[in-house]
Amino acid sequence: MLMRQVGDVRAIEVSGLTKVFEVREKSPGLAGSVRAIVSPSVREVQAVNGISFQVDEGEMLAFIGPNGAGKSTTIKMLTGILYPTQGRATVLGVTPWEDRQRLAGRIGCVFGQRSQLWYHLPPCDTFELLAHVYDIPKPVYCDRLNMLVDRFELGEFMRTPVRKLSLGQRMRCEIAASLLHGPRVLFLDEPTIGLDVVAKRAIRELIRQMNREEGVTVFLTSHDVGDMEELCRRVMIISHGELILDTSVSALRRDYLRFKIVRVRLADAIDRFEMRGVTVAKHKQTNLKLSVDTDVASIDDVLTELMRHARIADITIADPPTEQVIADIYGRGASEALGGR
Amino acid sequence: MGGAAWEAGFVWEHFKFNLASAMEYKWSFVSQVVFMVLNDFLLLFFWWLIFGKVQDIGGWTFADVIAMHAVLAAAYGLSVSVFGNVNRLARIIAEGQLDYYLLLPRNPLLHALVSRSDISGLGDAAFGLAALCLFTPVTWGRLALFIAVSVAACTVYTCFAVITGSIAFFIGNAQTISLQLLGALITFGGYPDSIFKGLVRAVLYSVVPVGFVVYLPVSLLRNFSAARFSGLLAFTVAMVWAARCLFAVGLRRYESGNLVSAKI
Amino acid sequence: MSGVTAKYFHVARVSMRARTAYLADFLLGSVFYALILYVFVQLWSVLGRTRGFAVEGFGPRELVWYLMASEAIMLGRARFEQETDEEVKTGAIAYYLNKPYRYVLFKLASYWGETALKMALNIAIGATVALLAVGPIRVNAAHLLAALACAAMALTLNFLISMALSLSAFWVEDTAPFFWIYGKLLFVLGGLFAPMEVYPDALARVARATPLNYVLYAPARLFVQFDMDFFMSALMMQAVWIAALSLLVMALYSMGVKRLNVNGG
Repeated sequence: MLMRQVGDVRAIEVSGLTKVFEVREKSPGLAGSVRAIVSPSVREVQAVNGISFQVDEGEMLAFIGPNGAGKSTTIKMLTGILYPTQGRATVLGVTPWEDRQRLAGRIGCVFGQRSQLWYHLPPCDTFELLAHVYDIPKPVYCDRLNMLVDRFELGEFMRTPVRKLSLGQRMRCEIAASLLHGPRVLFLDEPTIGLDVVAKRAIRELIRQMNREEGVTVFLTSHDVGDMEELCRRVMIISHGELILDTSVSALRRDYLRFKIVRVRLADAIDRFEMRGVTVAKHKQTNLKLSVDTDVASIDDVLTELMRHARIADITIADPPTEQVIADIYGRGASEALGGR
Repeated sequence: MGGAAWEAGFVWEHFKFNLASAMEYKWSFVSQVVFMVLNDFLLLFFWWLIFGKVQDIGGWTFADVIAMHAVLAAAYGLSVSVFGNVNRLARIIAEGQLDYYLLLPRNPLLHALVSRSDISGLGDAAFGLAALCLFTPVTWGRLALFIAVSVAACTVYTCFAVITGSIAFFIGNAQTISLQLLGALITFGGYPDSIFKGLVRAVLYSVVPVGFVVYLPVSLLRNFSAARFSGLLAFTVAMVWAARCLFAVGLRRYESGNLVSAKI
Repeated sequence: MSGVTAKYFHVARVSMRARTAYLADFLLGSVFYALILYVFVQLWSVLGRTRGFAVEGFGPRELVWYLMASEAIMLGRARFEQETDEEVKTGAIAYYLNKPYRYVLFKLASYWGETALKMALNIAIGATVALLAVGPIRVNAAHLLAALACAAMALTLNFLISMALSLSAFWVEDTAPFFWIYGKLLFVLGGLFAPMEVYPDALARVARATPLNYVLYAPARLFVQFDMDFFMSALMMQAVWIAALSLLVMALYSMGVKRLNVNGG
């Protein structure tokens, strides 16, 4: 039985988690099929390679990485759908793949591809069914439902078939449905995808509220950097199956920013501008947009070089968007990123 | 947590839910049920032609053939209306849709099966009951026996479907094979076993258990014997055990992520 | 070959190739076909030995070959009702507006492409199973050709009936029930499992008055038990029904398209 003291059991503890898939390779055509049955050639694919981390209760963290990095494999192991080749993990003190059904009652999941809501029925019907699935006692369910309907402002369309709802309304219902049974950990996969700016903001605010008031641990996967920046204080980056970065969101920008965007308008037009460590993103007569790798060339040097060609009429020096920071990190890979600056 | 009563309650809740949602589209609901009833009665037409010329086929009378169709329809109808995904298990496994059920705190096999309901099955079940009462001699005892053997037959069919569907854990896209086996069972189940002999007969009482879905129940309705009834029950229990085992083994494989058509 | 005919022939060929992509589904049907033949081999043999069971002109062997032929046609029919339904619902059918015969002929060519392939395969499979199970029946090349001609007419007849039912999509929300009923009627009135000789007289008379009888019974019976009189009358009746249904289909098409224009699709 699980008796928890505050700070005693972490929300998520992962140590040396590894997953190697055996992929059966099949050559095309009939001969290939026969060969595949008689003597299959198996290729090993290392999806996750010894990752370790810990998450405290009530944390909100972003788990990001390029496609094929091992994100969904990791989440599948944490939710018990997949068991690892090596390593250990516990979620709320329970090993997910050994005790999946018990854990399922205490975690919530919202996955982009699969909707929990029955398409032709109103959300209230799905909620009622979920109450049975999770064995929620009637009075508890009623209170909880009222609170969620209130909080997520679902009142006006609770009785409208899901197929008639907008994406934003549907997403609110999805997240509310995932919170119905009062989970301690919430796994969110692309919760704001396809939503307009207003809807995104609403969803993020709701998630923040639930975290504040109920202390739900949020494990967020999203390609939307805004989700990460507005919701999470911590970010983990996974690439090629390895955890290449585990830091705070503010540190991410501060320490891993190595490019600067320099927009300059010169007094006279120049033909070309070339300099080591500088990429000319745009060049139209007097206007230049440069991407400066500050590891190679300092801003000072770039300005000096520019002024040798022409006088500067106007200049802006800005940070690149966070997407670029992250893409850069993806590109650099484990050793480089961890080496830091 | 756990226990047969809890699981039975879960099945019942889902059935009510599926039924309620199907009744939202009244015309579709009624037409599916009615058409199935008509469809099943029409199948008897052929036998009506045949029995217009002969009294029995290897010991089977017209009443026996009707009882056979009644049991088959009742068993099949019950199965697909309560466990609507029973014929699609292979596809659910191959497409990775099991993930959804694995994330919920319920028995994934049961949950996957009851998530859907094929309403036409209610027509089949209604036909079974009607045909038995209208065209064969009926007493309360016989009716009770009919319900009992139909439930057993339904269980055997459902477990057989789970077993064939679970093949998908091991060879990937097994939907076609699964449907062929199920179709074979339904096809053979419409004809008296007195026309089959030898190896085929052996197959029908084992690998493709038509004997336990249809023939044994009918023989019990013809004349009851405690021994044969226990035989039916024993086979039913064995099927349940086999289905659960095979699915569990297959699920373990699924959780390794190494399925033939794995989605990483 | 004139330009127009060549075009339709090309359509048929393309349709044949496209459908082979659904091999798995077809194989599924073939297994069912073989199974049902096997079951009936057993049934007819047992009945053949049962006292009182006698069918005029049909012994167990003939009954099995009859089923082989009728099922070959039943399972060999290409199904285009969903396509047509969509074309009507989306208004795509309106592209053929000013040339109604073009649409029907286009559909016919496409139907024959798929049907010819399925029939060829069914005949191969069915004949193999029947030969192995009950041995050959007496039939010569001329009779065979006659039966095939009758089958070709029968399949065209089936096309026209199906087309007429499909075109009701102009007026009816869901045409599926009509096709379900058509299938059941084919089973009963077309003599799918047993020839008219098994039927009580009154019912047989009713059945023979319908076109469905000429979709299954006529060609199958001709194949198993050829006689010139029956061949002539069957061909004539098929021609009559084909003519009548062609007119019906044209009329339905024109009325439907007019309705489409009026209602804006």
